[in-house]
This record gives sequence, structure tokens and C-alpha cells, in this order.
Amino acid sequence: MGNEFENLLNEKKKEILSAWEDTILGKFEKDAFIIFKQQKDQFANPIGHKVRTGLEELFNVLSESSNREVRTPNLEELIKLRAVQDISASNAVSFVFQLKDIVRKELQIKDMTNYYKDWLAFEARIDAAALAVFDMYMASREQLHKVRYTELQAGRDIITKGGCPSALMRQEQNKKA
Amino acid sequence: MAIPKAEELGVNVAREPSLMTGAIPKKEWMDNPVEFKEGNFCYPAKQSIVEYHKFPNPREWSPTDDDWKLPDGWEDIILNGLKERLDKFRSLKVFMDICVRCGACADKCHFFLGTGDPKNMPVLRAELLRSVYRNDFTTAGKLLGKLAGGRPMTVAVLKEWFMYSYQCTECRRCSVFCPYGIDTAEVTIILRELLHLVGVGTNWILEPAANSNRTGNHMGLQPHTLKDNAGYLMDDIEDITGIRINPSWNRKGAEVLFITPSADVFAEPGIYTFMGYMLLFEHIGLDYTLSTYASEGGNFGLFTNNELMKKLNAKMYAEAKRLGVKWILGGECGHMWRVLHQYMDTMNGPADFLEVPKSPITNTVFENAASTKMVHISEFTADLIKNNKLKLDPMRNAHRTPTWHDSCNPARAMGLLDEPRYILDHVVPKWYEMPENTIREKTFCCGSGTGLNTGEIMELRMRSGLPRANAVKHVEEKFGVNTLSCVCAIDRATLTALVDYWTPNVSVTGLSELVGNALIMDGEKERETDLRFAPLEGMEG
Ligand code: SF4
Ligand code: SF4
Repeated sequence: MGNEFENLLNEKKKEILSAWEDTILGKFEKDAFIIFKQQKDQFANPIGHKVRTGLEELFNVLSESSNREVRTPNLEELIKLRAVQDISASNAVSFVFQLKDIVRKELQIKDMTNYYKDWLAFEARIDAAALAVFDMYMASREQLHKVRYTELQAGRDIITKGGCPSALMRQEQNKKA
Repeated sequence: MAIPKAEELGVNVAREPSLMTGAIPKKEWMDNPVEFKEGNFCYPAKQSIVEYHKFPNPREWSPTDDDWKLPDGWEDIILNGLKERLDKFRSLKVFMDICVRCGACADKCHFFLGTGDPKNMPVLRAELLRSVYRNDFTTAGKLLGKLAGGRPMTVAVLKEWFMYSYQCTECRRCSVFCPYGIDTAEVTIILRELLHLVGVGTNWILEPAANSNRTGNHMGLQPHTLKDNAGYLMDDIEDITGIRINPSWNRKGAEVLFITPSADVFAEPGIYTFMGYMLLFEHIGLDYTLSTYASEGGNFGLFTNNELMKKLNAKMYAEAKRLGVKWILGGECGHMWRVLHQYMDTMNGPADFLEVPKSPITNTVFENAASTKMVHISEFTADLIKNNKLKLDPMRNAHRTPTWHDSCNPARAMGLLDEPRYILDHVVPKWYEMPENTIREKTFCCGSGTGLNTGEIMELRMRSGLPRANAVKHVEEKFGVNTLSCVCAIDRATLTALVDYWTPNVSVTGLSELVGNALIMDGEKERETDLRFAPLEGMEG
């Protein structure tokens, strides 16, 4: 991507990010959307905070023509959030692609001929990032399964197993003996 | 997912309903039906368990079924149940009438903040019941119905009640912010009670409650198992400290009866807390006994209905009477203290056959427990420290940098805020507070209390626990915190899963575990590890 295109992106950063946030936060009901969008205290609004900071990190990576890692700490938090929300995998990562449309609108690129090379490069970066984000999403899902497994292993579920734990322990002790 | 047409490219890759828990967006909340699907509900109670409790309408059913097999005339059962409770509990009547919908509570619930579902706003949660109350119990509602915010009791309403009364942990955070002190937790309590009248309840609550009723504890542990397991923990203490401790069980005439959650004897990480209690009692030579019958601090009756709560609470006092102790010392449980401070006295009190608790070591009289005769282990320990009765080496906890999680019930239902902090000051070299709006009275719930810490709703738990986890993450990054300490058995279980997901380098401990690490016991050998067999700082080689 050329410097000129990068500059354009950075000039419009605020607007782009705000519109990008809306693609995720807009899925909530209006009452929730307003709170998540406006409340700036992260402890009173963890979802809004994670969306805001995660998207900004990814935008910074995408808008610089460098090879910076997609996996950054705040983006990771955002993906962890997506991984426990009640949405499909495709929906969880779709926000990455939505950046294309937002940027096109915000930069008001009518005459693509000047920028088509930059645009192709930018799109390619977004596609690559989407794949990386999908890997992050899967890693979070894996982690969640481990959490579930560890909890089962801890044996607390005996309280709803209907069996008698005393008898189970006795069996175990007999086995050991 | 269909392949989009060219003109749709870049518009929206995946179209989904909104993030309301199983609901379709953009309608008035009243017309927005709930949809149950695997992962957004706790499994219903088994038929055999409902029968055991002698609760109405035992049957096999699933929330995903259209037909919940409700009894004939169920609407009247619910409305009569509501009427009875409006007459009986003045607080309920007041809470139904006085909300001005100011919205101060709206964004204070961790379930709302973690799910974004407006029906998890406390004001709307209460409105689920209030709308029916208006319709059938107020003149305006009777005349105007929906115009006055009323709606009749229907299956859709009942299903909504089930969804959202089990997405509230009865944590009371919302009540702290309500200018009228409306306690939505109590509305949830009533919603759950009413649902039980028609056979709608969850297994994760009713089965432990049945166990507790039968054997004295949630786990269903019988006397010999309890004793044996505590014995294994004493073996570990001997390996670590060289001291042999023989816990005292069912001993008549002991001065103090000690009651703690059964998970402390059985499940990690509670067992380390149990080891801490035993070291403490040995250290000061307390004349105590444990009981294999009153072997549960927890009371899942609180999550079910007031009758069951009363019954399970009564057992602790019956056992205190049988053993002839002077007073009761309670361990690190959360909701046990809610039951004790808010309800015990009117349900089963006053416990006149016991004496006002007085520490035999410091002679401090616990006037705050003059009626219930039950003292919290942290009050007791803080008093010991204040009177210089404990030999402590905080450096034995140098490998830990804790932060303090105020468990909802001890914090908001009994005001236990400073004692644990005072203890921490003396048993660890350094610890850090989480941000002001996430601690003390404003503490965020673990997200899975009131019987919601069940595996089938793990994702939901990770969402509802997000506000807590987010604050932990902050102090982990800022101060290098690696330990989340608390005084609640449910927290110890639920926070363990929560931090495993959100902050995997943080582990959860009880407070008495840290006390146990720090206690310098008479005649002990040099300690090389903590109570988890992890090497102490400087002993790693
Ligand atoms: S009691 Fe807690 S969980 Fe229930 S509505 Fe209030 S803040 Fe939410
Ligand atoms: S803060 Fe109290 S009065 Fe205001 S909406 Fe909430 S419950 Fe009603």
C-alpha cells in the first residue's frame, strides 16, 4: 500500500473505527447498544471496551504496510469474547470483512483507478487477517473446552450424579488396596 | 450460510438474530418470546428428585419442548401463589409498587453487561413479574391491561420467567444503586418459588438440596467418607508441616461447632482452605467439633423456596443443640451468610439455647452475632490477629500476589468488607485492590452463583462473569496479580473456571488457605512448600 492511501486511512481512522464498532455493537438491542457505545469506563462496560480496543489494534495492524502480527493482546480479548457469545463461528469473525465496505464508504473512493493497487493490497491484508482471526477464534474455543473438561475433572459434578459419592470412594479405595 | 451475491459482497457476511439470548430482535420486549436451545438453560430437575422433595408435577421434560407438561389450571396455581406471597412478604408488595423506572439499575447487572440482553437489566427482570402483578392485582391493570403495563399469565410469560430467573445470581448488586433499595434478587427468589409450584426447576439446585436433606451435605457424603477425606488432608498437612492434626467430629460438649461447605472437604481448591482452618484451630487450641450431620454450610434452599431454606438452615441449629455447644463458627461460604443474616432469625431464631459468641482466646464478645450465635471465620481470625494471638510469616505466601474478590453475599448481605482485607495485610507480603467500582459493596458477582455453576451453560457463565474477569485482568496486567482470593465456596469453584478462560495465569484461593500457609506452628519442621505442595519462594531448587 502506498503512503498516500495509508494517510487517507489514518485521516479517517476515527470515523472508520466508529462505524466498525457499530457492526458488532449494532447487533445488540438499542438499549444495550447505547450503553455499550457510550460508557467509556471499561469496568462499567467491558463489552464496549473490548470491542473498541480490539478493533483499534487490528485497524492499526491493517493500515500499516508492515508485517506486524495480527495476534495482539486486545484483539485476543475481543476474540475471546466472540468465542463465548451466542453466535455462529462465521458470524463471530465476519466483522473483519466488514471493514472493506466501511473503508470504501468512508474514504469515498469513487475513482478506483488511482488507488486500485492500494485497494487490492489492503483487501489482501484484510483477507489474511480474517484467517488469523479465525485461528484465534478456534484457539479460544479449544480453551473453553479445556475449561469445561477441567471442571468436570475436578469432580464437583458428583453432586448431580445421583450416585452415592461415599460408595464411589469406597470402590476406589478397594481398587487401590 | 448462503454464498452472497456480488452486490452483497462486503455488506454482511453472516446474518444472525441479535445477541438477545435466543430471541429475535427489534420488538417490544413484551412481545419478544424466548427461545430455549442447548447452552442457554440449566437442565431441568430429574423426576425422581422432584418426587423426593415432594414438589408438584414431577415428570421428565425439557425446556426445548413446546409442551412443558404443566398441570391443569397452572395459571391459577401461579396467581394464587403470587397472591399468597404478596400477603406474606411485605417487601415483595413494596418492590412491585414503588419502582419508578429511573433506570439507575439498568447497567449494573453483570448478566446484562456480559450478555447485552435488555431483559437482564434488573428493572426489566422485575418487570417480568410486575407486568403480571399489574394485570391481576392492580385496578389500573385490571381495567387497562397492556396500556397500564400489564399482561396476562401465559405459557410464553412462564417460559420467560424460567429463562431470566436463572440468569440472575441473586447477587444484589443492582439494589446498591437503586434509590428505593429495590432488591431484584428477592424478585428472582419469588419467581423461582412460583415456578416450582408448577414443577419447573433445575437439577443442579434440587439434587444437591436433596443430598443435603438426606445426608447433611450437597455432595451426599456419608459420615465415614467425610472423616476419611478429612483424614487424607491431615496426612498432607503432616507431610508439609510435620504436625499431625486429628480433627474432632460429632463431639458432645465441645465449646464451638464449626460448619463449612462440604466442598471444602472434598473439592479443589476448597480442600486447601479446610487445611487452613485445621491449622488455625490447632494453633490456638480451640475446643471445637465438626459434625457429619450439619456438614454443609451451603443452603440451596435459598435458591429454591423459603420452606426448603428454613428446613436446611434448621438442621445446623438442631445439631448445635444436640451437641450442646455454646456457639457456632462458620467457614468460608457465601450464601450461608445471606441466609444467616437476612432470614435465619425470622425463620428459626432466635437461637436462645446458645450463648452469645465469645472468643475463648481473646475474650472478644461478638455482639453482632448476639441473636444468630454464629460467627464468620474471618471475623474470628481478624480478632485473633488484632489481639496478637497468631504467629505469622507472610513471606510463606511470597509466591502469591493476590487481589481480593468480595463475594456478593458476605459483602452485600452481611457487610464483611474490612476483616478479610485486614487478614490479607497480615498473611501476604503484598496484595492489590481491583478498581473501586468493582469491589466492596459494588463487587461484581462471579457470574455463576445461586446454582448456575453447571457445565451445560459454560459459555453463558463466561459472559456473565466477564465484568469480574475484566477487573482481574486489569490488576494482573498492572500489578502482576497472580491470585484471586475470596471467602466463598461457590466462588472458589466458579471463579476457577472463569479465570481459566479469561486470565489463565491467575489461580483462586480461599483466605484461610493463605492463613494456613503463614501460620508458624509450634514444633513444625521447616516448610518447603505451601499447602498445595508448591515450592515456597527460595525453595524452588
Ligand atoms: S441481583 Fe444481581 S444478577 Fe440479579 S438482577 Fe440484580 S445485579 Fe443482576
Ligand atoms: S433503580 Fe430501582 S427504581 Fe430505578 S428502575 Fe431500577 S429498580 Fe426501579
